[in-house]
Amino acid sequence: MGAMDRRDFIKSTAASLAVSSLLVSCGKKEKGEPLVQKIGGEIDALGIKWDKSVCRFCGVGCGVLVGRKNGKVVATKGDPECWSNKGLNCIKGYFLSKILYGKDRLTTPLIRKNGKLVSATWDEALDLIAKKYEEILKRDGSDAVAMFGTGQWTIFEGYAAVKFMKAGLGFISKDGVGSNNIDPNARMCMASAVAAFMRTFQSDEPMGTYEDIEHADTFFTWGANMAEMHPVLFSRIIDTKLKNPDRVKIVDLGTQFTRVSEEADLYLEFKPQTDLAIANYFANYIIKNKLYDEDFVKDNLVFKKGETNIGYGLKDKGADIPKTAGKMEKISFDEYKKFVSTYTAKYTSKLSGVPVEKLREAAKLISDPNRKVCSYWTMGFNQHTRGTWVNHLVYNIHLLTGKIAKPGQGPFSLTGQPSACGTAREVGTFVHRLPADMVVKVAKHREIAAKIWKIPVEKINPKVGLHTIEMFRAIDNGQIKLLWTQVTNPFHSMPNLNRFTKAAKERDIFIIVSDVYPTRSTEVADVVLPSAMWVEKEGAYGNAERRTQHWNKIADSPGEARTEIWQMWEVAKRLKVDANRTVADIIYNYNPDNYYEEMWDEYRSFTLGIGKDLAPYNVIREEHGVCWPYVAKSKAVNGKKDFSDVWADIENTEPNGFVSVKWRYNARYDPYAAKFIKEHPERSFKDGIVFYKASKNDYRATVLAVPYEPPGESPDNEYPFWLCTGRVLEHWHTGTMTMRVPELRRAVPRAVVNLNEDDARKMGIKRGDLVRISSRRGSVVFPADIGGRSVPQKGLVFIPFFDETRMVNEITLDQYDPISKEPDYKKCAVKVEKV
Amino acid sequence: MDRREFIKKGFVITAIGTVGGFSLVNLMGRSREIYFRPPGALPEDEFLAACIRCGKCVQDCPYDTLVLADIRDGISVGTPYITFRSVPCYMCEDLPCIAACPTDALDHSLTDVNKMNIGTAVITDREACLSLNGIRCEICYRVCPLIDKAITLNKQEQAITHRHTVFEPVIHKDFCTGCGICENACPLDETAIRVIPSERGDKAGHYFYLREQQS
Amino acid sequence: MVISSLVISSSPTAFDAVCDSIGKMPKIEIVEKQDSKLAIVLETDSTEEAVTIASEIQSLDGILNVELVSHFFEDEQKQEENQ
Repeated sequence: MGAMDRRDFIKSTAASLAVSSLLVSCGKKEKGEPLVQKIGGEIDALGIKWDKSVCRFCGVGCGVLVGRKNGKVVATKGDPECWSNKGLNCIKGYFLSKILYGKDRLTTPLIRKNGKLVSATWDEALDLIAKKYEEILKRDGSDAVAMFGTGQWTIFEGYAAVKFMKAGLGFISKDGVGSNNIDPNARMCMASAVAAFMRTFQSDEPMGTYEDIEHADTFFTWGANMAEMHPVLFSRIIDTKLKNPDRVKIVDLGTQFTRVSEEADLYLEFKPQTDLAIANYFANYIIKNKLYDEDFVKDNLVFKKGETNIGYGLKDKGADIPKTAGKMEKISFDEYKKFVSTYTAKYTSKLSGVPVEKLREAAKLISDPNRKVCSYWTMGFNQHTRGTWVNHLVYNIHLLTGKIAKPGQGPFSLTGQPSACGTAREVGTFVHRLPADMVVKVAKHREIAAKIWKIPVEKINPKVGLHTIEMFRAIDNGQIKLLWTQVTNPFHSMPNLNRFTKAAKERDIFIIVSDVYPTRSTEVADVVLPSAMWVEKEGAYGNAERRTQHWNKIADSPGEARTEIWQMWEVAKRLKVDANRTVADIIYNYNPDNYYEEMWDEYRSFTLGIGKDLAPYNVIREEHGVCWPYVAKSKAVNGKKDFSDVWADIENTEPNGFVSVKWRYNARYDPYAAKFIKEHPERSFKDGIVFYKASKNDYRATVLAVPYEPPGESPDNEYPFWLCTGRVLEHWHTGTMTMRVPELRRAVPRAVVNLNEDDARKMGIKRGDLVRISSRRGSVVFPADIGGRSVPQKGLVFIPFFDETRMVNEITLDQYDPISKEPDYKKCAVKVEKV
Repeated sequence: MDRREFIKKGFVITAIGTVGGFSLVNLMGRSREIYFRPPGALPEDEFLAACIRCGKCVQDCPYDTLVLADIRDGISVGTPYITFRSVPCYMCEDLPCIAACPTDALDHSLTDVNKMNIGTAVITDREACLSLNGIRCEICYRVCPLIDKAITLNKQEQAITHRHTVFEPVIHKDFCTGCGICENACPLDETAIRVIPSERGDKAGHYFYLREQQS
Repeated sequence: MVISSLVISSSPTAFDAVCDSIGKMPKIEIVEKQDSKLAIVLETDSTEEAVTIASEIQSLDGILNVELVSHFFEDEQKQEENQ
């Protein structure tokens, strides 16, 4: 270093030191406005106005209070008046307000021109979309268009979408019927639970509520990492345990050691797919030891045998699935006993790898007549090529022991999306559904829908549409020419992704994507519509415990972003039925200033008097969430059924003359059950429980005999590992929202592959090494994590799917449950190589 | 104001980049900050003496965790250090930094990365910590490479709702390596968990006697 | 060569006058002014000289405080050692 520049260097260093000291001493350091989230903390002093809403993420449905200042959402905090969470959130909910303000929010419509998405006006975009609909519907009919929606649609949006597809398009299409090609991403999430609920009880959704957690003393988690995926509910389970640590037991069944396993008293690690055998073993144990509730069996159950060897949906159009896949045949209790007797502890242990003692210990806990047992499950069960079966098998256990529909006892399917229940299931945004559990196949149901929608019944298509996997396969096969996706990101979340992304790029398909941020799906879109999200519009969600939660519009959407309802409405306005009418005149004949209330009233009329009763509009606006059936005492209030004669026997009735039912089918809590029992004096009902919706089974729930069958793809010499995909607490689904929250991105910036320590050692893979995971469908590189939050069993690797820079779905398999049509993201064969 | 008084008040720069060695350390006084050194670093005084400021460990760090101190760092100029909030130590099992060190500034006998001790994490702001308020955060716990050993969760009832659990992250000094991944991941603007030097508290170990008596 | 940097605080009313006076003094470079504070660098032949200048500054009207931020005197030290 020469003398001169050395001098300069010292001088400039001295200067910079003086300047930095100046900055610090003047307090010039800028700090952002702090987020306020102290429970019960002072809020008014900060000038923040609070409104009620619901968390935008998982199916727990935590109530949140949204703080607004200067027209901008600045904070959220748990809503202490919401029963689902009572004031607490997880870390995603804590940072909820930030999902609105990612730097790259879509603010103008985009149209692909010469291969590039360029800004356009709304009129250009909507005119183009309407032109395409008209062209394709008139040329190819309603089978050629599809809509892929979501369990994140608000109830209003889902309802508007169902009407658009199933009622509206029939007025344009050359075949004169609407399109049933509308399916939600909830197909990939809880369709198996839906199928089993319908087949067992003939009514969708759980009987209990989250309050079960405070009453139960035994918790079974089946392939569900509740500690990370349903964080606030898990916090309640642990609190129940803390209150009674000697009594309360948590049993975790899974294929990898998770944060639930860490807290569990008993952890059963089973080989993938053998949950089928374990559940059957529990039933066998219950029968062998005469632990079933004899009266309950006699009064309330019917036994059936399911069709076996039902295929895996590996071939297009379900060519490998027998037509009778969903068939159930009546058998006797003795035949059922004989069926499950195969599943001895020894046989089950050999199949599952779980030691006999552990199996016995778990069986003892789940069948103990003195224990109140709750079973919880999510994707481990639902994303399963025998997902419907395995849901059935857990119902079997609860039905045989009568541990169902009582406080602290029951099977409970958790959901992953905020309105999988409220919108996808209740509104019926599935290819086979209509609102309130009705289906397009049944003429009577079509008639009811047509009457409420004020359209000719012929306009409703009786043919079930293409479910998710077949819908995307049909894009590849050329049947679908137009796809509109809303509030979902299928070109990131579909299994066997490479096939579908390639199809989207190469086939003659017009893709419309309504979303809030650029995603992998906007990359293949022909038109991108910027959407308003969450509290930028009025909405309502329905969570996993049948709770309907409403919020008002709290903030403006940025730029020209508009709601999905507005988008569909504007397209419908451009579809001319005749000289005087547009599709909008027929399906959206609402007052533009008050359409949310009018839509609600119309939709609610589907649900009244059939045990699915939703609350009136003024109630959902005011209350911090109410559970359906939300039943009125007198006929004068809901106009369908009168419960005055049984009202006095019902618990939890409210002064406003309603009851928000906490345990369905139970005469102490559910007026429908009480009324049914009163009207059927010839029958006895053990514990006052009646499955009053199961009219086709003489009001009995189904116990189904189905066996263990192997998965669609298993490890072999070439691909020796199981691949299981899933989530982490910090990120939600495809990460389009949470990866834009800097704090969550900092916490978990990338997806890693979790390896078993022994496997890693054998292959010489160390923490942080890059590892190539390949299947028959592709390969993706991930950094390795060993001994971290998820510890897979030997021979299994686990990869979360939120990371759009390394998409595990490029290697997953598009196999599905032949009954529920839900894909299995939890099992396929891969190989693992150090890069 | 005399010369002594003048100098005493200030930040004294006496050497730049070209000097090292134990004698000079004594001569030159100390920087005021705490520096977190690479895995296996000698105690600070000895480290400053032994480190020849070659920058090889910095070069070989695959995550750019290690950076070189510059002129503003006074005596430490040219030495490697870690700022956990920027990039923590990701605990490479083969410890490339130690392998690169040409002197004994980094202890070559350290081969098990889980035994390194850069410092120890502590919850420094219990009021701000989201987990302690009942929010299901516990990010520090889940990102910990030695989860369930270095950090465990202590569970108690949430005092306001009486329906939830506070999952309190508890750090165990015996296992914590001071890698700082927790400090890096903390979602708060001002992190509530920080790595601090491991030597603290009762160095003479009187309370160990007490603890042994109790156990 | 001895280089020092200082931060000088003055009363807000006298700030302009102080800047003026300091600006005219030899061997001083003003590097930053902010909210009635200024950062300067001194380049002197010896520490004694730096002390003299600092004292001069301190005696100006309206000066509240003179703080030394950094002081480089390696060359001087070497000279002393050689002697």
